[in-house]
Amino acid sequence: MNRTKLAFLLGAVLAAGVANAQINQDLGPNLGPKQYRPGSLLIYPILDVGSSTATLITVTNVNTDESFVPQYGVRRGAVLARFFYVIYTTSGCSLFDIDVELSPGDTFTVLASEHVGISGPVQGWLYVVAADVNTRRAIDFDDELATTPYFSGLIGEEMVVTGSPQMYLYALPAIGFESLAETSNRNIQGYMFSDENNDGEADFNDDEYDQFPEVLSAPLFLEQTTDIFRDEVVLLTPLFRFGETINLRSNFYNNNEDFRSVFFSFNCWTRLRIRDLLPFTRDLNGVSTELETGWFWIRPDFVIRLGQFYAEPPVHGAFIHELNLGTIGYWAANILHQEGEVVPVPGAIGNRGNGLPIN
Amino acid sequence: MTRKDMVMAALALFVAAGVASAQHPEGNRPGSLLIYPLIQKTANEDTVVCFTNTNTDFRVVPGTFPPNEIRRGDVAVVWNILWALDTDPRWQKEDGKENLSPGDTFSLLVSSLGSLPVGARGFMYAYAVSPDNNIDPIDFDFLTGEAIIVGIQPQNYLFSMPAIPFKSEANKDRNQRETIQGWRVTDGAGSNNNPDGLLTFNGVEYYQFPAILYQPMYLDQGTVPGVLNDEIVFLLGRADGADIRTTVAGNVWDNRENPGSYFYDFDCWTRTRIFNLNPHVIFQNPQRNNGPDELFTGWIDARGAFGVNRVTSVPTDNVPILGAFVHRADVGAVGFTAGTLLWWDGERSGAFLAR
Repeated sequence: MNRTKLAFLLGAVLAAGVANAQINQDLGPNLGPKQYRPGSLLIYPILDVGSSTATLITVTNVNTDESFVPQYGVRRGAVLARFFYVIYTTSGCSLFDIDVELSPGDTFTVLASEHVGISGPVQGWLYVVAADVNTRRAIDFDDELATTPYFSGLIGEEMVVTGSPQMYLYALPAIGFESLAETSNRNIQGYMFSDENNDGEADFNDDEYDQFPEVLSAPLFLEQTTDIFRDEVVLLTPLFRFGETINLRSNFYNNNEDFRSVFFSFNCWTRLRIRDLLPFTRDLNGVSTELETGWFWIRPDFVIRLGQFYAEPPVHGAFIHELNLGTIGYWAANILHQEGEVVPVPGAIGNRGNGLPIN
Repeated sequence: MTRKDMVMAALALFVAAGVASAQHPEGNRPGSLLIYPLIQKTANEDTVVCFTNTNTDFRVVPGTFPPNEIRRGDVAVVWNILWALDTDPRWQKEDGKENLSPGDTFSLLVSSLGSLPVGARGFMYAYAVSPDNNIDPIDFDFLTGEAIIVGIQPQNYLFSMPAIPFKSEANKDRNQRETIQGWRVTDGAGSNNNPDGLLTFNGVEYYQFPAILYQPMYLDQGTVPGVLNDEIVFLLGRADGADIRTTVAGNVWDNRENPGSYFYDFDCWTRTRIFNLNPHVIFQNPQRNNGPDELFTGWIDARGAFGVNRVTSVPTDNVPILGAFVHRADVGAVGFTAGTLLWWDGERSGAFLAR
């Protein structure tokens, strides 16, 4: 089917737009500044801090229960949001955490550079864990104990803004994981502690937290005809503390239902241009004068850790549409679509390393 | 009633109860019906709409032969755009159908729809139908989609948002009619195969609408006066939405946990500045309570409070709505714009759309 005639229509629209662009003001980092369902652990797949690039991280506590727990002076809707930053380097990822206490109905937005402590460049990802305000232990905060129905859990969003050499802004929601803890071990507010096996990790096993998906996909990418198209896929894994290499396979489809497969790998976190990953994306139908669209799926295949082979490692990520026209970048991002669940890879040393650290 | 009848009746009840459990949209997982909350064909904005068939099963359905051969992963997708003009707020429908092969994707530049006038704004829904007759809506949970909105004049920007997918549970209802591919027809599922000609979001035909919506973050709209113009989008999930005055209720919260409540009315669909919900989105005395690093932001909750039918004057409580959010920083000819779906929780019955 050769129906998608976005060709020069879209290109012309954008080119005309840029020709008329008058940049009156540099919008720098000082602007101040089950997907989409509240959860107890949020993953933000992109951390991008540079001299002219800022990432705004927001976490919001939708639990508005202001009532006090008798004798303890703690409000039922209060929560400790524990920010864990995973900093990517070519030799591996490092981790540090910062705590922020959220009152009932509170929201907190921070320039990631304030938490990272340097102006960059820093790349990677982060996750925020709902924890008990006194003990800092992770809790099932999306459990509906609140007096008002539905007002429970954490929601979040990140926004990336760049002022130079290109100007653009994009936002994407955090990936929300619900806690599914079932234990009699509760904090003074009544929330269950989510680390059921007390291994100091958030395990994505459908007990402590939701599982990771089996397949990731993006419904749309524009043909990467020229260098102005630089769509990127961002991938992350919680398996990064033992030098694990995640191996994936992917099919990229054009709109004639032809596809090409590609096998690739990454450690901890990656950000790949699809035009570099697979040249097929640059000329989907062999007709270079017509802009076509395609889609793709990615399936985490296996991981090698400490010499051992494990199938279906946990991976999630995002997709960024990028059209780079001079000083203007037309960027938009979404979380990758998902389907299925993967069984957690067994722990490594001392049963550690199959989840995300929360202590 | 014979013993066999009693057993069958009991089974039917069991099945109906089983498939009627509360279901809500599952975020970004494929579904049988997609809702795109924001479609624009205006002088300032155009929209690229995409839907993709992630079913890549090319096996031929037995009993079908060329040229009418049908593969297991084939599907037809019917799409409907509900639109109105600012100058003429009567709601109208633009529709079409596309056949998708296994693994196929289809993109549509909305401005290329000649019958849609410039200035049209609204939302779109697309649903899977049987490629056998192009009529029967089917449980085919393999569709994903996305919309890209391109700002043209006087500002230049681009943002995208995924379609909201709704799965079907019709395949679990063994009483329901089966298509030649083995998918079950959604219309009438869970009701003893009594089709009503509607796409019903009752947890069986399609997952329910959510009970509550959230936007995690907006910047204090007074931070840079006149520049920040965040917008919120609401749509009513009812085929008779054009006749219903819908009231959304909720709160805009600042970062000191102070809520400003609001009631906001719209017909069928709306895209409005959040300032119009409540001026509390401009913080009069912004203060930090989470340390010096904190930026001045707030969040929003929303629920469909009630609707009143203009024709019959019949009120309905707890009407089903969906929504999206557009961050806007308008800096001269450059628009720093980003779109996202609203978060949601809970389930709400009562949504239905026309086939």
